[in-house]
Amino acid sequence: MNAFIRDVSFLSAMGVVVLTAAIVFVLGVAAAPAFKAFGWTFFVSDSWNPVKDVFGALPAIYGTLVTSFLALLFALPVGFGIAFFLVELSPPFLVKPLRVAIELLAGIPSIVFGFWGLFVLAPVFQKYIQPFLIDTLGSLPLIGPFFEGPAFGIGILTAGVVLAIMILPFLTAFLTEVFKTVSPLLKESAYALGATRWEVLKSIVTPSTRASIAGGIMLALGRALGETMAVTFVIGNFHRLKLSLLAPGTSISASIANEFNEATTDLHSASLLALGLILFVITFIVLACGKASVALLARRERR
Amino acid sequence: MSSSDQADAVMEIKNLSFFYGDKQVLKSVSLSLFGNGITAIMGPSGCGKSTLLRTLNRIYDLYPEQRAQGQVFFGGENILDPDVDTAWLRRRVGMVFQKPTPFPMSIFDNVAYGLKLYEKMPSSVLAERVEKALRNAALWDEVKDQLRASGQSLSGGQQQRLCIARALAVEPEILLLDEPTSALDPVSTARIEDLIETLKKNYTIVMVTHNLQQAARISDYAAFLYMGQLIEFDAAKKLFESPSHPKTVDYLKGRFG
Ligand SMILES: Nc1ncnc2c1ncn2[C@@H]1O[C@H](COP(=O)(O)OP(=O)(O)OP(=O)(O)O)[C@@H](O)[C@H]1O
Ligand SMILES: [Mg+2]
Repeated sequence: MNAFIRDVSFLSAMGVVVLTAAIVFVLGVAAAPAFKAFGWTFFVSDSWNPVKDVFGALPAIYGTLVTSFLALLFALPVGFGIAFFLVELSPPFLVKPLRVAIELLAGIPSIVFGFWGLFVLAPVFQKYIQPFLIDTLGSLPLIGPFFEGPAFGIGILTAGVVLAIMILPFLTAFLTEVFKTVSPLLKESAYALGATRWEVLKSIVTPSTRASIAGGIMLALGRALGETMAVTFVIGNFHRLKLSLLAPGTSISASIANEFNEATTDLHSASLLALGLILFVITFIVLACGKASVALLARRERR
Repeated sequence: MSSSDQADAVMEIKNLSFFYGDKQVLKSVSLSLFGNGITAIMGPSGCGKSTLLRTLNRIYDLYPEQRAQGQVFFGGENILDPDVDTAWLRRRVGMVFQKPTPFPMSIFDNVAYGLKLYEKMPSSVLAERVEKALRNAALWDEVKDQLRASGQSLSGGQQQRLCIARALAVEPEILLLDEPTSALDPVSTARIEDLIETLKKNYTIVMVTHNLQQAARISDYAAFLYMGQLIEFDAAKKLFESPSHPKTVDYLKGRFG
């Protein structure tokens, strides 16, 4: 009986590996025509023209990376703040309602976030936030090109904000658990020297949990990279590379979701599958970096 | 204690009661802490020794469900008064915990931590203050060549002396020690006992201990707490040699706790 259980679990474990390898293989074979046709220019070209059968991945890669990065940029400080509030500051009667609220946020289907982003957030951005950014940051040297008008409402920045809200529950829950692992005695030692809450967060809690925080950031990034539905709604689905965060763009998953059904030529669907393969590689690299940084920091902490 | 002694009390605790939520763990405790001496707090597990120390620097403030009643006079103020500046208080009343708690930073930064909270000083002065504190804690010779190493890389006994150095660096008047040697081996324990004895020249020390020999060896005053009540408080010699309360007698004979 034991041998049976062992064999079954071994086979299931192997099955996962084989399945992953098979998916990558099939993806690679299906995407091959695109790489063959365009070579490395596929990665750096920003023309995407199904009529002329010419495809380039750059705008989608740029959109994927930038929206995910923006999402982290917005979600991280907020998640940090909420988690620290929950663990250190909150009066006990507030902890439970706050946690429930965050869990509910996590339970909202991503298509609802998409709707909300398109019909609520985008108009607000178009009317107030984007004009403000264009007027203030848009004329600055260096960063100006990232905030050039006109105000469309939808676009990379809007997608980044929606993504930020979507990864916030995960990030908050993760950081809350991480902060809870810091020994109360250690924190009290700092308070006993007269440190404030903020100083304890900065010099005790964060440094003691660096490795876990880095891991959590990578996991959150991994989620943001692959998110499809909500991004498709608000990113604009525009296949030209625009530096400006206010301009519409596209992401890998949004491109695939939008176009796969209507792919007219073999090269078109091969190019979409190639995008999928690229997303897989990016996500893999992010998760690997996450693992590596966790291992590295954990070793340094133990010393 | 006679009233003439009360004059040079550094801290005076009057009718102190303490609550964790609805649960009362200190019941009207009154006691004086005298300058340049060691006061040992003894009693069976759970009688409220740590709780007593935790009121003296208001560390319990961190937890909304905990509260203290009564008065604790220090530096002309009732430190239980909500208006009292806890940063001021904690700078003057240092605390060392039951287990060593080195911060996740270098040995130097551990000791400099409290100093940096209160004042800006040139780095040469800071270095001097750190060295002085490490010397006072009898740790300097062991770590002077590795001040940049992590505080967590030291041995347990060294870590505890680092924590003492960290508390001494801000030059408090009172040092609260909650079973400072209970997590340490006998050799480290002896070193820390020696250290505490030398420190009493300059500081008022309150030490919680389960170790009666230790209390008898180094303390000048001793208090016996039982179920949240102060049973007896006297000069250590008197309390250990001729305790006046039957419960103290039982405790010293090891009949409970
Ligand atoms: N955070 C808390 N919440 C509720 N009750 C507590 C809390 N901390 C301590 N107590 C209770 O208060 C009483 C006194 O605790 P305290 O830690 O002061 O005892 P102690 O004399 O230091 O014991 P020990 O020798 O074991 O350290 C105990 O009954 C304990 O269970
Ligand atoms: Mg205790």
